[in-house]
Amino acid sequence: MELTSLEQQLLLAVLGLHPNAYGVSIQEHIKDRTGREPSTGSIYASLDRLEEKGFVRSRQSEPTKERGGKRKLYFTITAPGQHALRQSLQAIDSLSHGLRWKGAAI
Amino acid sequence: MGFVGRGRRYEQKAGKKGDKVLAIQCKYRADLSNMKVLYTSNHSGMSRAVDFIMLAHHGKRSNSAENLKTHVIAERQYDIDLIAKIVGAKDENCSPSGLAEFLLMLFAPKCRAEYMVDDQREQFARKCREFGRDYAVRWYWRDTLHSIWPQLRRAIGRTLKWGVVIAAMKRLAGL
Repeated sequence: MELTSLEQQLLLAVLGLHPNAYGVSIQEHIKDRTGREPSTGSIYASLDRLEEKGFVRSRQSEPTKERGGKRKLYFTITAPGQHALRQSLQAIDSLSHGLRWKGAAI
Repeated sequence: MGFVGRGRRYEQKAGKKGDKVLAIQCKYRADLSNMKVLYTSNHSGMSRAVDFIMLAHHGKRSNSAENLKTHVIAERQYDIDLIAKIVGAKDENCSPSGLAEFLLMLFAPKCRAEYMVDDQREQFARKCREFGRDYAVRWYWRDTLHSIWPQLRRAIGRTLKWGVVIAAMKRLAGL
């Protein structure tokens, strides 16, 4: 199954942040590494789609102090999600393999 | 023990919240008793916090950590919890725009809306502390406006999908 670029980034972030992947940490993780800050809405819309496909699973945390007793929604990647991510990254790898960048001095 | 000051070298020397500050010099002769901690770590937002209260503007320039230590120890010692009061005073009324929050709630799916708003509030509070209220408000609005379209698109997609299913079922029933 194909993944969009944001979906790829989200799955990588969820995998990298495991088990502390929730909206804010995911947003910061992506911003720190790509320089692009996806909006809260786009993160949740994509995570929603990924959950529908069975690539991520969400769970509520215990009430947290820093949010005044409110819960966070944590995400974890599932086995099919890891499989889809690996396939998607491999596809990019094979596409970029042996590329000669125009004008670049290698 | 820590030290709050301007410039990279000083920031590297900064301690954590609750640490004692060895040296502090306010350009504006701020009343230290009215200050409270905002940043006490090496966090990137600290330089802004420090700029705000113009801390540790040393007369002498320190070229080595050893020199810096000497200068620092020569200064008076303050409790960092008191010092940051002045920085944080600005943040006490830091709450996000109700209209922006309402807009987000309006377009977000019910099951996710609460988490989205809480995530945004958490980010807002952090940005308020790091960069001040104006920046946080701008960020909040930008994030909200950028959040609406993906949520709306998702809602439309869902409706269309169900529309197609219902249409197909009606057609089947008609046959």
